[in-house]
Amino acid sequence: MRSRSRVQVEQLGEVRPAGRGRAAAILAVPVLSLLIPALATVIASAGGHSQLTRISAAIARFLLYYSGVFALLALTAAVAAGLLATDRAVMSPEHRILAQALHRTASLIGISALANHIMLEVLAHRARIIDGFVPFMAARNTFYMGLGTLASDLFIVIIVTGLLRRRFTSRRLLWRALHATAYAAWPLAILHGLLAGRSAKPYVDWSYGGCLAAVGLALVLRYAMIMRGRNAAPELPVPARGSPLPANMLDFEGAQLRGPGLRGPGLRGPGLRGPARSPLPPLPALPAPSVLAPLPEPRPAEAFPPAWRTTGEYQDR
Amino acid sequence: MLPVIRIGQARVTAGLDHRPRLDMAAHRAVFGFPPALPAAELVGICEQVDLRGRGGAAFPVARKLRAVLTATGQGKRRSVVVVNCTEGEPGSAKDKMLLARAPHLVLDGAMVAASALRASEIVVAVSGDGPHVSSVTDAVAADSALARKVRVVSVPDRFVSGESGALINAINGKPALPPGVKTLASDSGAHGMPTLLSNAETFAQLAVLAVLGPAGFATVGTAHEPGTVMLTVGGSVNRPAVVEAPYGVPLGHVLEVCGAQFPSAVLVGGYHGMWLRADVAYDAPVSRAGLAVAGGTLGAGVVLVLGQDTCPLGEVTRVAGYLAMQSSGQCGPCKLGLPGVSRSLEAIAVGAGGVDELEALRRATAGVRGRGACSHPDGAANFVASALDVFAGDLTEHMFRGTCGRPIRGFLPLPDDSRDQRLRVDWTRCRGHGLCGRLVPELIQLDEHGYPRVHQVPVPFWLSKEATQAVDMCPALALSLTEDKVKPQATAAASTLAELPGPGAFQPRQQPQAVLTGRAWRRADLDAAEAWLAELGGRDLGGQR
Repeated sequence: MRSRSRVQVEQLGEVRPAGRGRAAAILAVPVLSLLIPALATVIASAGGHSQLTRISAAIARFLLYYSGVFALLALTAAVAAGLLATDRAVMSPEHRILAQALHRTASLIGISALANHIMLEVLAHRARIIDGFVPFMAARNTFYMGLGTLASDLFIVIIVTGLLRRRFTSRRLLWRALHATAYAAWPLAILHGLLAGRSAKPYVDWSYGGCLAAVGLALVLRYAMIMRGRNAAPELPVPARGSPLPANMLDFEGAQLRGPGLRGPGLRGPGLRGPARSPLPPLPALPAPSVLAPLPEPRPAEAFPPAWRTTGEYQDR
Repeated sequence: MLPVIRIGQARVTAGLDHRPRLDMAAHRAVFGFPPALPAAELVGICEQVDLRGRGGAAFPVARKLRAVLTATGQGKRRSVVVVNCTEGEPGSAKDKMLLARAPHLVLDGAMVAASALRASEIVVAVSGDGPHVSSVTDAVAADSALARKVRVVSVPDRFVSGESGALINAINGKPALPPGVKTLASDSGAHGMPTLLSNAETFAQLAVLAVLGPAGFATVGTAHEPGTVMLTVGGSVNRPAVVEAPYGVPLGHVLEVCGAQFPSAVLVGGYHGMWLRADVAYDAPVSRAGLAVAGGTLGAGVVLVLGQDTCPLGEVTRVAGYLAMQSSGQCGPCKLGLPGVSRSLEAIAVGAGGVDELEALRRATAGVRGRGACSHPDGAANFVASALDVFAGDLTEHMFRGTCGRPIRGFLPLPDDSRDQRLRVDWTRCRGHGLCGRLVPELIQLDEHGYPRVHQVPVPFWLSKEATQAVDMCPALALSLTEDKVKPQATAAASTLAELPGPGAFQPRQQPQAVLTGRAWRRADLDAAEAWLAELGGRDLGGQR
């Protein structure tokens, strides 16, 4: 048995895979959006008259008032961008990549604002913790509060499965079905936003109505496109009938095509399509290699130094 | 571990026919103690025998030593000696063999250089796992003088990790990638100190030179290139081996000793080297000058033989794909150009590319030359361009028939990549949205119908982010990253030849530890070969490089 070596081997030079910081940056958005208002609320509720307390109270009040609106706006943008990203008629692949990036970013902001909204509502004692997750449990305004909770739950499922999209390649239909529930969750969220809290101004009502109509129209268009795409014949370039070779091969200097099999009547006639085709003639070689030094004439055996005649010298012991 | 074959006198492989590994005692019994040489004398003897670096670039060791001496004020300031045994070349095994079986010889050479330069540290850089790592750590631990001075570091096992700049980066704690701004290791290397960096065989030869003296060293080899050289012979040969041979021996003799049978072509210098036609290769002497005249390069001594029963273009395509993915992804012309080269080769090999594809291939190959931080694009371009010349006949056949009728047997060694992730398309779902082609153009190109043509190579680390994004953004959920290796397309003609012996037929037989050939090459013979080549090339071979 060999004693363990005392010399350590250091592992050096490892290249860190790109995009490790990306996950941290993505996670930072919801985490910060929860931490900052929570901190602000705690500081504000601690009381006092310092500048910090007043600022914290203002932040907490502002977010309590608007985070739900932000969530709804961001999720509206996410739904619109997601729908836009599926379009093939107007959007180029580059634009669709951009739309997908927008879709993801808007969803991230939306879910962060949603978490913020729920947390602040609970901290402000306008809802219980259970109301944030189980629908139709609220003490007052049960129906419209419940719609919000239901929409929130659906959005959480949609975003978690969206993050795990890679795992769903073998259950594509399941993923699509789950993701399509966004089209149900989003109107519920709008109803909740318009009717659960303070009464909205008319332009807000009109705007959301417009959004709903636009997305509805886009959905109908999308469905129509899918149907048409499925039924339409694929656009295929017409192959050159009768020619076994792609057209770009046939204009190769002529020199390569000298054999009778390629130039003869068989090229367009039935000969090439028929089952018994004569094998192609041997092709002439390409021009001589250029980087090689000129080769010597074959030398007679005695021109070799005696030591070069190596046959029979090898001993394999 | 490959067996060792020796032709002629024993030098760095001395003693290996008796022991699987020379421990301290055995090593001292064979080589004795190397003399402590002052710096001026060491430079002098290196110059006398024109000792060159054996890692591929063949840089004169005397010049390296002199540069370090100048930078340190003749040894007044501290310096570092780096033994490069990373050997990223898949076909090369000589440095690993030396570390595994004669570690003390390599360390002796490093010590000779370190004491002449008054270097404060010796860094032995290895890569991968294997007997060579434990062997060198054991050897260092066995000698307290070594244990004080030697540090063993391991770098990732990739093709460009062993590039001198990348290795210096790794030793300095940075990622092992070739630096964009070249600094000479002899000016500012490991820890910013002047550094003597050379590969393991160079230090072994340096130890032999110190022991034998220049006159003794030059009793074998040619007049211009005295001494012996370590070759790694592989591919379709019956006895793949690490071979020690005197400079000037005809390559044909080496190939016969290793059991090559009717090769169609020989690759010299590894995957940054060049292909030679078999008849040219057999006549060429194994020396830098001899192989250069034949149109090849000695490089790090990798000799890979391609038999008649494998598709040469398919083999070249496999290696070109490997080389493309071994780019470190830093330089645009390399990271986009080499996949383009590989793609064009693949298209021609399966008959999907015509003359325009060949044109594109030649343009792409020429376009990467000299446009990177290291010589990787140049080396890969040499490999592909010489293959196009040597396999011109096969190329024509593939272009017009889609196959040469032979299967791809995979004789050219590549690291096992079956566990690596590749991009894969579910064709029943793909609707040709084309987002993937925009996101990873290095790996996915769209065909004329808008459907992806996926390059079937492992996704390299520098593309993993983009590849993941392409999978995430595929609107049809048709793209995935999987470990399944997609088999190369088998053509109808190739499958009829399936009963030919597979690579297993070329498994090495059980070998003794080292095999000796009876031939003792006389100086006069070897010089005659050089003279003949000099006449052939019409130039003075002594001034090569």
